[in-house]
Amino acid sequence: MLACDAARDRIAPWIAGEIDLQAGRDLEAHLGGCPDCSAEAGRIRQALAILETGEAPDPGPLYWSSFGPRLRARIAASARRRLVLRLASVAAAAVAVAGLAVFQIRLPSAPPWLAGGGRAAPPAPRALTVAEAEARLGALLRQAVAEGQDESDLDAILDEIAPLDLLDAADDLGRISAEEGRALFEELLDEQV
Amino acid sequence: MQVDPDRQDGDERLVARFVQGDESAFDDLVARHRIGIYRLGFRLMGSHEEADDLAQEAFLRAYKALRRFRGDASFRTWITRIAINLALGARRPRGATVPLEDAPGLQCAAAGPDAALKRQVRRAVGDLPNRQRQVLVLKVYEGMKFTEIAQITGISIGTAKATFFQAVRNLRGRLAPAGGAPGEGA
Repeated sequence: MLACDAARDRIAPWIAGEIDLQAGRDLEAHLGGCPDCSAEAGRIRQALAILETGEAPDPGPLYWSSFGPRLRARIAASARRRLVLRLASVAAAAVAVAGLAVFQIRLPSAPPWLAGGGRAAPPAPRALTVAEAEARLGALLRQAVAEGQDESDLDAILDEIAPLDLLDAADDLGRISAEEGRALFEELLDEQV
Repeated sequence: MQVDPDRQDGDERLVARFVQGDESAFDDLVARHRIGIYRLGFRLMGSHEEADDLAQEAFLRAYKALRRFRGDASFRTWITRIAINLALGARRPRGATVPLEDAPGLQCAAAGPDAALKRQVRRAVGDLPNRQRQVLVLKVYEGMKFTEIAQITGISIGTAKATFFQAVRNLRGRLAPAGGAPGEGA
């Protein structure tokens, strides 16, 4: 025979229709012989019935007609922020590589007596391609999200380093001209210096 | 949740079209699911403004991630999960929010003899702890089975059932004065 504690744990799933046949039979048998648990089941049924009256209001056709365009604007804004971040990463990579190149130039060259028996000279630095910079940035973002940083926080960070008003010149996402790209690039460098 | 196989099949085709570069397929997905996600947002967040923000953000995240969508769950389940995660992470507004029935220019079914009860229910659901509210909403309003709720919320099936029971007991306490049946004295 089911104890009251165990029976009460089963009441809500039973009312929701998600209890196996035998467990349901056991519960019904208990409810048939236990006025307290039977009353509890009745109260829970009433509470659920009241709950089902709480429908969500319809905001109306004006709202729905604006939903799609507003979403598209939000998508476009998010994509612009990502473009700016890509450009910023290229700028950062270029600065880092330029700095490395300067450092390499200032290093004293190895004395001749080392040339034959010393270690091989390090490879000459090269600028990252845009694809490589994007890949690095993507990896950094994925790592940040994997470590628990919320995507909306990343968007907030992007907003700080690249406010949307800097992008007014970017007329058509995906078809930004080389000149516009250069102008944007230079603006970003100015912001960061 | 009763999943209409034709609808699910339609969603799969739309996702496939989108992955192949058809942007209008995403607009069709939005049109199919925006009402459900808005209503879920309203029930979870309690106000029109927050429901709108949650729905918009859920679809934005879906847009960004759709090309990586593996199809191991239905699109409906997948975007519902996104919405639930957003609601879990959402912070409560500090100021008072305008209830939908008081927002100008919006139609709603707030008039009538049941209006006070509906407001009471909405408030009681809103006062529940986050996880209890989510499980309750998914079960009662979305009609989902506990296996689906567990998948969406990332908890075990047993925990989903126990959480549902706790939510209902809490609700019963909030909707009725001590010792009375729900609805009495409301």
